[in-house]
Amino acid sequence: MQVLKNTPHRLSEIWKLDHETSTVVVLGPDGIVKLNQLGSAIWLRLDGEHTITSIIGELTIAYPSQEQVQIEKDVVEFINNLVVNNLVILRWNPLYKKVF
Amino acid sequence: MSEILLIQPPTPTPNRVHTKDSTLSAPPIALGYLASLLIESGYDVDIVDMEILDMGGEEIFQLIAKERPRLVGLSTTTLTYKNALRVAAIVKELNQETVTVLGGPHVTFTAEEALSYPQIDFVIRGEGEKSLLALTRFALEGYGNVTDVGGLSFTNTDSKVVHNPRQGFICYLDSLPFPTRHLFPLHLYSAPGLIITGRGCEGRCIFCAARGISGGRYRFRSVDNVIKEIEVMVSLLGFKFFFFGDDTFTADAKRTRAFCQALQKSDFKINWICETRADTVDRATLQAMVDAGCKIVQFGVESGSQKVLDMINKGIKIANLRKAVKTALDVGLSPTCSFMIPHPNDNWETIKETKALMKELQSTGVRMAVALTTPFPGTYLANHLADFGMKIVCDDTDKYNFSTPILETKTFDTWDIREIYFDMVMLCLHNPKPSLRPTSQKSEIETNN
Repeated sequence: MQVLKNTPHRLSEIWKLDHETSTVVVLGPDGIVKLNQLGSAIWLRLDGEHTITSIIGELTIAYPSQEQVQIEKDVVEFINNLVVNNLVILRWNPLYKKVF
Repeated sequence: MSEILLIQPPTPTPNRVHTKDSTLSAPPIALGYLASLLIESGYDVDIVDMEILDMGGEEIFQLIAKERPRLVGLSTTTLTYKNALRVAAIVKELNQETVTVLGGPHVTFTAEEALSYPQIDFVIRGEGEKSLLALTRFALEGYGNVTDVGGLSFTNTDSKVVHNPRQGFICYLDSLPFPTRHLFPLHLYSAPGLIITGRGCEGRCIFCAARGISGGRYRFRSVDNVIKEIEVMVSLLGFKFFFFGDDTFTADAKRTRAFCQALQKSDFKINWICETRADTVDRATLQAMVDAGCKIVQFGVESGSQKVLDMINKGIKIANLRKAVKTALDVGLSPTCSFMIPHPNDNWETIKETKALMKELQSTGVRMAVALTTPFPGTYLANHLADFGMKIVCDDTDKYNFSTPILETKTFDTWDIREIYFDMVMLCLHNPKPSLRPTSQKSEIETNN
């Protein structure tokens, strides 16, 4: 799938790790967003360098008890949600135009 | 078709589109100064601000293919440096003969590295006006000698990088023509009325490169010269809102008051904002500023810890800052205080002090802003990182955006820095709105758009 070759990038760098839960808390355009554990693991990799394929690959290793198909579905769905909520740009290129 | 194209590359920050409406955008006035001097000398020049025009690689490719410039000048900060290299690569892809020149704060201190890229022909270090004009005469007309162009770096026929001696600073700034503004899409900027009344800085802050770029002494334009430029901007362009972009607008209190009096006597009825240091203002100066239409003054505070301020050579006492802010509020200004974290000797205790000062000032009606410390080339900080126990953890300058932690200190790792920054930004969300209390002009803040 073409979409898996995209290199998504966070649109907000105002985020931190919650010490108690080791999950990510983001200040987005509509306020605070608290991510769950898998969401946090994805967020950390949305650096414009990882492709979606590589994110899926790394998470498959990090969560060996989960099936790859399920991880792939979760990652794509989660990133799409972040894009819809203006928290992530899907096709990041430093010399880009306004393309989401 | 313009024979010279001056380009402001876009920031690579992924959120540049999203922040466009919330940040103050102003034309890259340095390119306006360069263009003025070139136009005055008979060259055909155009300016392309890729950032404000929302241009990407494809758009600039099309534009350069159409314009076919003979010389392309690219202005760079550390954040836009790699995009400047990318645009220069596009220029050369279209025509190897087009001359490419980089200038600006970043390459002033990294010329050799920039010249290691085959798409870069020349780098201008320091103040660019005289150097670019001389280089243009040499490159486009074969006039003079390349080794005589002050501040120029280039690779010679032996593949050695040559750094010509720096061009002396322009002491008499009134001699410069006003920056060209008609080449900017002024309607797109939220603060198109940017104006510079002086250059240089006598501060010795370890995180700032201003001294290395524009000299360690203030150089001022005359009051008459600045008033004349404002008159042109008001009468020809209809500007009502001005942004004085000097590093320290009130560096010379007497001159500031003279300027404010001249402005008050005029019929311009403008509003304006400026940035300055807390140790250069007094009640009479701040009152004169309000009387002349000033609405917002920004103080660079950097830290709430005196120990940290002393260490970074800020040269400001917190007691004096409190007094300056209180006086600004008293006379009817809306102060904004900007902070930076982390400093080399910051620890959890000093961060606590900084947060406490932020809360204290905010409770009195002051707005806050916070940014992450970035060791820019040419700063004392960048040259002494290891001595300070600091370490760069990200050397990708595309990420030097003041929000991404790119270094660690002896106390804080990037996770700590993220957490401190997050908490401080949250604090800034409670900022009061700019004060619109009536002043002598009895007008609210108006922008040109």
